[in-house]
Amino acid sequence: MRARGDLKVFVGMAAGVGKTYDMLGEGRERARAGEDVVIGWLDTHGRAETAAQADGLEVVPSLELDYRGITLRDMSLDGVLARAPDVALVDELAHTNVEGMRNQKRYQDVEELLDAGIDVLSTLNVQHLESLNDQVFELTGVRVRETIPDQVLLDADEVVLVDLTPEALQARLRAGKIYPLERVDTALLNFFTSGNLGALREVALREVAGAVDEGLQRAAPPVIERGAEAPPRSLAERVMVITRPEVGSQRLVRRGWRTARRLGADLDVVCLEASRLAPEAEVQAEQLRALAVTLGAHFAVVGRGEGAAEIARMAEERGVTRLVMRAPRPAGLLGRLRKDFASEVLERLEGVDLILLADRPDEPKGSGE
Amino acid sequence: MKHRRGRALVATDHKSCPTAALKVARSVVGHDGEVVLASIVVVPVTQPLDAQLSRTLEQACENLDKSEMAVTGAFDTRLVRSRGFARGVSETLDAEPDFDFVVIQQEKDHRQEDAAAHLAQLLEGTETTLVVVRPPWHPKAASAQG
Repeated sequence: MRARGDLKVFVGMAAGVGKTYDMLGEGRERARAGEDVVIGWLDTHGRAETAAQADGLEVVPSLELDYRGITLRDMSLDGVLARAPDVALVDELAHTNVEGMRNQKRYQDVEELLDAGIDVLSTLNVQHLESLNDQVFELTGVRVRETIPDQVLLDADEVVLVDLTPEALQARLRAGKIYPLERVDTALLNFFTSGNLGALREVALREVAGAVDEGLQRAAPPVIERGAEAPPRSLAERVMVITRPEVGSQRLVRRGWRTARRLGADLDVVCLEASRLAPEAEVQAEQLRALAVTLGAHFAVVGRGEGAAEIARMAEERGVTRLVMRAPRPAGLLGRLRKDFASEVLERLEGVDLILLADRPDEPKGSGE
Repeated sequence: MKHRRGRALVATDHKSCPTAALKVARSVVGHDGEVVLASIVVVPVTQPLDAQLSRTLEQACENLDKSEMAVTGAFDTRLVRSRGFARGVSETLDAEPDFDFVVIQQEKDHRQEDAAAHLAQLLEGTETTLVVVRPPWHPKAASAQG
């Protein structure tokens, strides 16, 4: 019995970056090296360069299905399984199969190929990942209907980012290499704007690279087209929630997480240790930690004595761009004589935005900072 | 002896803001008691328990925020990832065994058989008193009101 095949996915920020071209290139290389390579499914979208790259590679005949009186073509899963090659090239991993096929989605077909011991090379645009669907919609205003679970990409044996600067992609578009020339102007005005492409490029880089070193991110910002358009979002947004372990602090974390999500940023949760940990504060600290884990945030505890200076140091070190804190409570006479905690932190951090959240109407008042 | 204040756990899915259940929970534990709202995020078995699930978590957070602003008295929240709703409730109770009541609200879009299955699992998995709230839209609640 053959061992399970390997899945290699060519990921890109948008159509036209050259994912399919690169996939075919690798297919040709592997065929030249003596492997048995077939094309399971290929959609050239009428691109001459892509069609030329497929030249000489065997194509498994596609399936023809009748759907409401129209003949549709799709990959013949059984055809590829019966052919049993070493490597199958299967374009567009996120594709939804024609109704009536064995599997609903193409990635499920790919699973069957892998199970049969066939290596698969495939392609994917980053906006098709389920978890990024909302983020991409927020960034570009375009809702992508065909999605695949993130786990498919996580389970891939190899992921290759096919990267192109927004300018280069726009140049390819203008040259008619992606869509027919009559569609170019509309595409440039809608989806293929510098802002959208810059943001999508960032998302693709993040997704593929995972935790990219922050210094590296700053050293290599996405190239953007100079012009009147709004620039793409910053690559290094990071949100930090600062809270004490008390009732209402979870709301602060949730708000911080939602803010971070909208910015496509990572989240840090910093819990200020109470001076003498009462059992209730311990419970709250534990709940904060659990919530941070649930939301995929980084959690840290800072000793009360360390206060504003330590928070500022951490924020600077981690490249935080926004702080989320509870709004200061009205202070008594003594309180008015000293600076509130938020001001103390902000004084130490330049260029960091501060979001102050009000308590709910009858929330028990904490000790204040 | 120090009097222990009552605690009620209101369990809901990520889609709901169970205002009727929160009111009932407040009335059963009294003004001194604590109401904890747990939003149970059910993670499909096809995904790891720590999967991103951004949209689901966003909805859960939004509903917890809404609920928090709507209630009075001592109130706290939990966001729980679990493989099933009833399992999530049981896990919450395992972590904090001092709840006196579990309150759940039957939502309009819950399928009858799903709700029944959840209840059966909950009754099997916990010894805590279970209160099922059926808001006025519910045909039985509506007829009971006359």
